Amino acid sequence: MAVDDSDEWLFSSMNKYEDLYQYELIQPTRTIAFVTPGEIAVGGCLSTGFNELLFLSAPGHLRLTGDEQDLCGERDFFVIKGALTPHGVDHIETGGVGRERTLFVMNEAMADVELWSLANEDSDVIEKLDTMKTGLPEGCLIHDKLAICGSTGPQALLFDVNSLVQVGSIEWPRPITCAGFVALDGETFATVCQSSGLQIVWDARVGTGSPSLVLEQESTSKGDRFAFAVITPKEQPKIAVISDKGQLTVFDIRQSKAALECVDLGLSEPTKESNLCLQSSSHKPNQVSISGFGHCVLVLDWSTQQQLFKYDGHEEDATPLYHQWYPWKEDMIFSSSSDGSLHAWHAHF
Amino acid sequence: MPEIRVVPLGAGQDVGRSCILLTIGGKNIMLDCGMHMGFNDERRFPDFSYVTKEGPLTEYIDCVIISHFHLDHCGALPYMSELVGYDGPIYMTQPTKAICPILLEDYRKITVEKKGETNFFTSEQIKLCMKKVVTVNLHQVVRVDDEMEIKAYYAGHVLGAAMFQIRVGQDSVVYTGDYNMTPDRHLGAAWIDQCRPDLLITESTYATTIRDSKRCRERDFLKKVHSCVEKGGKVLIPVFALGRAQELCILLEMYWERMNLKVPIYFTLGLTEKANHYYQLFITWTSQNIKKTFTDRNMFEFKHIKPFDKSYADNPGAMVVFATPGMLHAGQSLQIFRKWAPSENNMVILPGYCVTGTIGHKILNGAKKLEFENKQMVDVKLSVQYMSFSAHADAKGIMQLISQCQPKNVMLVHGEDEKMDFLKQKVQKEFGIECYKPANGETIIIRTEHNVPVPISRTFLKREESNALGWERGCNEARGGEWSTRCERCHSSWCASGRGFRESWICSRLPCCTWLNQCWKWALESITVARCRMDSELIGSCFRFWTAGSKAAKALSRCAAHDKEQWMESRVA
Repeated sequence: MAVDDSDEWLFSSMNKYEDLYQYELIQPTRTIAFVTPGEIAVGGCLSTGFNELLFLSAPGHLRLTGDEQDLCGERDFFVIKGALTPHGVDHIETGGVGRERTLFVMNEAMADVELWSLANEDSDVIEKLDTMKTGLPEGCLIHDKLAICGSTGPQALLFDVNSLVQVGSIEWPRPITCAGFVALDGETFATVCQSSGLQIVWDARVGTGSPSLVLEQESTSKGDRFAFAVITPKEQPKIAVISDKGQLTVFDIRQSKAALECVDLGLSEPTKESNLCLQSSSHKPNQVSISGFGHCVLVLDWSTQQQLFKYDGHEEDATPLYHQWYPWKEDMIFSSSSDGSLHAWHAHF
Repeated sequence: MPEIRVVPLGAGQDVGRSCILLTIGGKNIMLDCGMHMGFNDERRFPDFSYVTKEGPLTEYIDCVIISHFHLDHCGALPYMSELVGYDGPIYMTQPTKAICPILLEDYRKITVEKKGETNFFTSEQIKLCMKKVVTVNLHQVVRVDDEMEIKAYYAGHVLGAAMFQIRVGQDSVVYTGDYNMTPDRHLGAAWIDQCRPDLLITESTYATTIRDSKRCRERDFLKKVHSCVEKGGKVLIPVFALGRAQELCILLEMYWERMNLKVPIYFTLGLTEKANHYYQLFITWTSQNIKKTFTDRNMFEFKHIKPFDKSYADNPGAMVVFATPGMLHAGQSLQIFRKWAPSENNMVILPGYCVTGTIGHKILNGAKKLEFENKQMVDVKLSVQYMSFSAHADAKGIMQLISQCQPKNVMLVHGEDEKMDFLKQKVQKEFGIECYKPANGETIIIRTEHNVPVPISRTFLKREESNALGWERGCNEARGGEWSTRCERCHSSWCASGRGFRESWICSRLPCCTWLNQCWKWALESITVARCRMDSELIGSCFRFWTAGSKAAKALSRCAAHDKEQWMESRVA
């Protein structure tokens, strides 16, 4: 019986992956929010038409282990709740607990945060609660109880996401475009400028005056676009920064301003449309993952500069949009691409 | 005002005993006549007293249509036709007619001879029922009477499964039965033309599901089977004789050949011999790949899969056995299971749904000890795996089918989820049409509009329409399948029908029109985002334009305004 190309993939993947899941969403997603071990949220990111905002139950195979996993044959996502939004979704965060759970949905082209409620148990439609208007031109990022809005420009505003009241403001040392921000602890946050690679750590204690800068550091990597990840945020936090020239630099925030590692990865330059994304493993602090260079997701050990794994499961002519390590299973990563694919892959790195 | 009435007697917010009563243009049609595998009492059959309290159904039902041979779609047919009484025509495809009586007889044997039930249909009644069957071919218009005609479309799912369009006068309904929008190894994907029915009745088994890809599920299956036999264990795969069994056989055969494995694979005799015979007989109903290679190699003649003898179950060493029936509720599969269950090295893989009360259902719920007749206890130490290989459309597939046939209304049946508000909302927003999900016994009434056809020249129509509407920039709203627009540069106006692209209407002298022309061609050819060289958002918009009526016409208008220059520059380059 002849083996065709699609079957060749079957054989080559057998030993490469411990497990592999491949899904097709109706619209591509630029964000994957892990809510609990059994639930994730994604949102379509198209700029025309309606986009789906989905709150999904993860397949049993992803949630369970051992005998329980074997008995649960489901490898499919179940749509617990969904909604249609006229805006593309660039980022989702979750807040609240139990019945009061809320999705905070952001579109970077607008300065608003949409609040969607997961509370209604009688319907599988996510209801829109409110829109947090910030009055600033663009950009909005959010973490837990804190929203930072107007991430482009010299000033950013802080909002309490429970009361939607402004609680402070940040004056950046110079105009920056936030490439995201990560909490190091309850009050300290780190961010990197998307266009200059400038790294900033700031103490955002609210109610005690404006947040103060803890660290401000020029980028030593060359490039026009940057992405970053924080490694081990709670113990000896480090910032890893990747530039579009393929340079990866790792800094220890607390120790000194000198880079721990700086390596040229020799990657081909990403296209204008591709999304640079850098993530760190919560289980193995030496491992980071990179996407945006070609259609693959790379896993590296930054301390030894060794490439550990290359995931090439997305179509070659699709643009990778986002990826994230699955917090509840070691060596498992979710990745999404512009053709609507959402993959979860588990290999040994 | 003309109307269409639909009432599910089964499969309304449920899976099982599919039976939908349809009244269209004064005609009454029964769509499927299935039984519910989860009940042993009167609830296993649809409640036919809804049609008439007593007496036969013949004068109340104009015809019965059966979509495919699964018992939850045809299992009540002999009961309805011979015990309740019906003498009218029963329409189904050739493979369904050939295979139905086999499954009905098999089910009758288990129910009557093994479980001792009375008041059940007999073998003779199955034969009498099948005499009323009229077969239909795919895409053949069959006149049921002077007013009603039906047409079958390929549904995938299982051999011979079909979706049916029922037309009475200007009203039409499409009933999908069970279908699959992605091709299998042994069956193709469902397909229907843009028939624009007043109502699409679609299954919704996986409507709230995003399915893992077929190749990842196959990979998982092969990995588990291989790891078990590699350690010397035995793998039991309980299957129904027809359906997924053939798919898994082709998969294992391919894998064994490629990996040069010598571990024996067996298939229990009886029903399965006939099953493979029917797949060869109805080869035109199988997938492109199977049809293409059939002259060189018959994919249903297996090199590595041999007939099973019950004495083999005691042989030492690894083996894989496909055995019927699929839920371990009787027969060879249960016998083999009892022998192999106490060994930790062995494995049982259940590839489908198991009804409550069956051994399959018990072990899937973690049962470690089972009691059989004469109080015999069996320890369940073997590895129990459940893998779903059933071929149904998921949420994306349902939306694809709706965009293919472009109905005016949608009805969801054959789905257990009561909460389908989100899917309803999606259908309404994406297609601008109503979506219903009735429960059993709930009547849905859909008013239809009838047009009076008036012959008129296209030139006059275009002129009058442009005068009446006033030309605007970009695309106007779709009206009755015709889109009209005006070129911004040359101001020439043109119309295109959703059914075909009439190039003669296009001003092809200027690049801007040619660009719109090209856009239409891409949409008609359904070029996917991945393959198109254009900006993905643009083609996303074009595709949505094609599939989503007036709303997407506005999307094309937007992309026309923004991206036309880009395309023209790339052409020049």
